[in-house]
Amino acid sequence: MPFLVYLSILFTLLCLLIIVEYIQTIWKRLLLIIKLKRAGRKYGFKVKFARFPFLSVFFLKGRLDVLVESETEKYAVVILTSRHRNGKYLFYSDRMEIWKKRSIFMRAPVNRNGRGVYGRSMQFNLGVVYKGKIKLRFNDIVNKYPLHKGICILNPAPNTVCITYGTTHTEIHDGDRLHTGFKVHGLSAFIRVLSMDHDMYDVGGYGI
Amino acid sequence: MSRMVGTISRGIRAPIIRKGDDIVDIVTNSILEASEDAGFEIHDRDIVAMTEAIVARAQGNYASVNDIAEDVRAKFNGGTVGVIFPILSRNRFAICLRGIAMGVKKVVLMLSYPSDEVGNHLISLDMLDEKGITPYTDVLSLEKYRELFGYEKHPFTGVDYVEYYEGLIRECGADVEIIFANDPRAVLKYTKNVLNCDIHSRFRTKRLLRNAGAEIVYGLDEVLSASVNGSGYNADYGLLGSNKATEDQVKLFPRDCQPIVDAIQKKLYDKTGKTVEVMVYGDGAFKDPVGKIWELADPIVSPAYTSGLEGTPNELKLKYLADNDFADLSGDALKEAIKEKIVSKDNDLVGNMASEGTTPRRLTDLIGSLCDLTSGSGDKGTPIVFIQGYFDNYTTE
Repeated sequence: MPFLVYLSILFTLLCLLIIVEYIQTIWKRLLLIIKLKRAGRKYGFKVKFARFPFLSVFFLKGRLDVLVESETEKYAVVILTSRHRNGKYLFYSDRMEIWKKRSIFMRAPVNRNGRGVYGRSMQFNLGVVYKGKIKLRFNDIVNKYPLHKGICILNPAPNTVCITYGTTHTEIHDGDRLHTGFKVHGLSAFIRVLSMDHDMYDVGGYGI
Repeated sequence: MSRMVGTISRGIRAPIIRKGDDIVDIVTNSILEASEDAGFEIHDRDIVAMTEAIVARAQGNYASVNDIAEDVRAKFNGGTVGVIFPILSRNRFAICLRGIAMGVKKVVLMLSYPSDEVGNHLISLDMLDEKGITPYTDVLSLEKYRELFGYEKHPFTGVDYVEYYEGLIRECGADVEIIFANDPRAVLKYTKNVLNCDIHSRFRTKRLLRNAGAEIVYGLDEVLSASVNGSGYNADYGLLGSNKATEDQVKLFPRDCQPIVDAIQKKLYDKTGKTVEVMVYGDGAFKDPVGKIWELADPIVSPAYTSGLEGTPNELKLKYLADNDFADLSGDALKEAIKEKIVSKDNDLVGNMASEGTTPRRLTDLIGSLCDLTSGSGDKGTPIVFIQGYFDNYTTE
């Protein structure tokens, strides 16, 4: 009997450890849902969740998360959430498919001047690198929702987003296409897109 | 032996394209035939680019001066209109100006000085200095302008654009008054109805005018943004990016280009098994150091491109690496060290960011410049450009 108690305590601790790992991400996702719902109400969009909104925190398969629709505009949204701000996402493109290759998250940059530093520049001391080749199923979504504009929300807003082709890197910016029919946005930049005639304004950055 | 050739840009000849031609077929076949003729293979990430002119010609995206006049008349009710900041170009603006003049009673033409938005100079900066004129604040009437600067001709075309535009407007039966200023709000003393013809600064100009009390404000991008009597149109750019086709017609910037580039990419993939990037390009966005003219009278360099051409290059500066990180290496050792650095680029991003830092121009702007210079705009007959190795770097063999 005590063995089972110990086992259950151990199991609970293990679960807690895993949950603690994800608590910040879940919290960010909750905030994202609230902000998106609020923006939808304010600007006349219906926000429908295509699957349980917290699912993609644990299973990052790049599947459709949210449908945001008004009478004139329709968006199919995939959300990629991370635990760190100021990140650098690397995507990998292969034969018209997009894979998320790795994410690098850095501590706040420190301005440094000195020998070997090219002018006034920033150096990142500490970072966390998440590796993992994940297929983002943008093609499936584009085929299933051909009338929707594809949006990939990176939350929290990253510092940089790169697509790699072999050893060549291309940096893409807010509002650029990550894939045919799929644009990349930070959450607040996407909300600005919902709120205004975005062609008139320079959205700029990922909306940090 | 290691690879010695980097990027290759080839102008590809194509048949003369007429309205109704299938541009997807023509471009695809031209590339495949050129590949056989010149004996080059098509690879993943090669780039096929075509001029906006052939796309617009195939679409038959043309409009006449009467169509322009009707749209302007409908927008401004035929009264007095301030036409501000047009570029000085017989090819780009003269036909549009005729249409505008036919649609109104009086034109208040406000020209920016000493040059237009794309660098065509009415007068030189030296002349301004000599006469003590401050272009930021001074508003000149035509009489004052003539008194100060006389009759200056464009260095390349030999045309006095002030006289030329004045004559065009009068020929169309409208009255004309010409002023010179760089603040768009200066026109509001003459009329509250304004058509701003600037290209890249048009949103700011409209905002300033509206905030300063203008009543009717349209940009050139809103004229012929919808079809008039079955004419061509461009929903996004209207008359911006248009060129003279005949004495009474303009060819508009092409519209709905995205399905075309996607279809060419798919067709080339089906035929070759390679994912080739495709784009439509207009002016190349570079500057002539002698004439000081920007090659950017089109509203954008590329109206449509496949998603692989999105973004800006993210590269390492080889000269920086050679001068700093590997300053003590030379020859093969230096070469290998640099290659190693490039290969491990995505693992090292946590490290020193200082070695990054090339001018962040967008890929489509860079490639558009290359294409525009390759194809030219004269009689080369190569409206399609095929680029290989653009995305390769020092490590690619």
